[in-house]
Amino acid sequence: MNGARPRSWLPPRRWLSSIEALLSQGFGGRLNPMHYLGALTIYFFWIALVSGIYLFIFYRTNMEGAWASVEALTHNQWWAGGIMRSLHRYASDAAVITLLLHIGRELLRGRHRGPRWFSWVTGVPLIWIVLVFGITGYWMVWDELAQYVAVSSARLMDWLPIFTDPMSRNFVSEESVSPRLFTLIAFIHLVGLPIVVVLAIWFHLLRVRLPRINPPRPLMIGSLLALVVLSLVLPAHSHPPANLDAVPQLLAIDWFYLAIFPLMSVTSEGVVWLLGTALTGLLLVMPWLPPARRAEVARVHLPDCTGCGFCAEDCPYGAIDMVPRSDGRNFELEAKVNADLCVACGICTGSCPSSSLFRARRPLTSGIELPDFGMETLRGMLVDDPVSGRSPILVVGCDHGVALEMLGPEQHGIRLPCVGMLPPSTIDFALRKLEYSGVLISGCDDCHHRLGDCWTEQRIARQRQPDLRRRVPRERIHVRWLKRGQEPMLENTLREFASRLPQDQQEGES
Amino acid sequence: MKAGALLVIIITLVVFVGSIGLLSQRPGFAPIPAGHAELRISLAHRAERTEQCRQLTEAEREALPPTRRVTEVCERGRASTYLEVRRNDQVVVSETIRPSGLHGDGRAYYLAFMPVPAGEHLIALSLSDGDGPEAFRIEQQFPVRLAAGEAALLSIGDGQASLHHNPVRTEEEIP
Repeated sequence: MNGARPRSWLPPRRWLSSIEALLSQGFGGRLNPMHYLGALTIYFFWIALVSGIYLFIFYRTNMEGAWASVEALTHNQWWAGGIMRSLHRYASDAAVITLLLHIGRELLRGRHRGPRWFSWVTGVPLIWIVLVFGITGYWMVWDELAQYVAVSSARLMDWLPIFTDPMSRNFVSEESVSPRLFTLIAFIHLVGLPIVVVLAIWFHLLRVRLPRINPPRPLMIGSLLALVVLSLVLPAHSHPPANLDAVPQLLAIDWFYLAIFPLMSVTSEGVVWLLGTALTGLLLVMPWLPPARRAEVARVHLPDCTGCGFCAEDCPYGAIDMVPRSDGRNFELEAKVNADLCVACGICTGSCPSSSLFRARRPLTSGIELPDFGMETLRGMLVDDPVSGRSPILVVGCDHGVALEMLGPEQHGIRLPCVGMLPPSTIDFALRKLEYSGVLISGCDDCHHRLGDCWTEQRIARQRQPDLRRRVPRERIHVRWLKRGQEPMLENTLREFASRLPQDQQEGES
Repeated sequence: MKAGALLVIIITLVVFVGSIGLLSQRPGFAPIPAGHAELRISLAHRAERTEQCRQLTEAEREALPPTRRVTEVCERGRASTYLEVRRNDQVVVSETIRPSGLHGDGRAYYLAFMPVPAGEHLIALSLSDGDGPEAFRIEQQFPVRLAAGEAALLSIGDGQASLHHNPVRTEEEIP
């Protein structure tokens, strides 16, 4: 095995990888729900939005009619309004689950640091927006739970020294409630917050190239069906109507959105604000905690750069700009790396047409490459390694996929920062010049750098430049995306792949 | 599809949907202890001014622009309000409340929601505009009988206080 850069994962990340590996075995890598947590959250938001529009058609925005209209909807047309109401609630709850998993997953995978800080930081307000969205939704039913939520949220706001007249005074008795309350809440929940959410999602994805906004169709259909089944089995019901001259006794709390209120009841408003502020502050500074040493960013080597722009097109972080030529050569543009956005994934090296091991020049350079891991390093790993050529198959892995070390010392494997760094011509080189029978590419399932797997497949399939030459027999290439912890599957894949390769080639070449 | 893969999908869906179904409604939460009612105390009191208004002299009025020649000037500051509430001879509130506003010229506000055991209670209220327990402006007592789940509102406005209690009627009692 070659490319032995240090790689140590904390236990929670290994556990996450194991769970994801299990889900990949069930759903398949392309449909693993853990790969689409952000997209699923947006999808659940759409379900809540559509079902909410239906509910609003029948909803009466006043104190006398709110509860009655929701009750009528729930019972008189349970087959439509009742299901829609339950779907509205459960889709909102599902969004909280996927949102929390999304945060935890990105945190554990370290995908909140470096240039990704922007998406992380802009995602933090979304947590609050979603929370407020859910809380205002519960106000609208105007049942006992709504009463508790209204009084508690007013008391929470009163703790802040911004209101002269305490908000809670509006809820001390039936007579104190303003008739404008429902107009205000309906405006916030139905108009204000949806606009804010869409804007916040837009900001969140502003720096993400080719974001996954929609999950795959089977996941959309499956999760929708699951929520519909839940709505039928456990339909959402209201509590008795709100009565501010009384106090609710036992409430069926939606812990996804309303957990802060019981916490407030057993502690105090100040504790809730303190915890909320501390948690928000902690999340906001997470990208810089602890300060990390950054890998050296990619460098452009102008003598090899033709200004083709493939690297700028392929960079998942938008870290490369094409700027007017500065060295007087007869090309219009040259690549320029934005050091603030580069994470040293090496995908640009894979997309550079000059990254070719067939070139005889020493030291071998490319138009754009990592100072710590250039084409000369790649050549050394492939050609100069004593293991080179001793195994019939060359395995190419990445820093975030299966541990190639597990394959044993006789198996030649190289580990790249990302498989997207592999120039397609390297496969040709390995098969023709190094006389490997086959090349197995096994990068991480759900690419850590998001697009490395996609670009690799497209280059091999000749759908993306630079592509793999037509003369390279595709049956001698196998691609398998696997997670850390799926090493046994890699061994099986290796055996199966070896058995598929033409026997004469294997014998001759070994 | 292999049985193992199908099992993983089913378990994932059941865990996902099950956690939603469970945590969206359970466990239940009681905002007040069982067998308790709630006493709400709401104060919105405009206290006395710290300095009395005074009439302007003719000379002072002459010094003012013609459109602003008021006859009386008042300092903005108001005194703090001392509020004491006793329930069955036990002090449950003893607070000196500053007037609201940056200049301390607004009403003094106080609001509390306190669970009390169901049963009979004697609520005694004392209020003064001064800082100490002397010079009470209002001293009133309100007997009230609260069933579990009921709420009573002790409302203290400018110079007056009242206790609102609408007993919760059962369905049989509703005409």
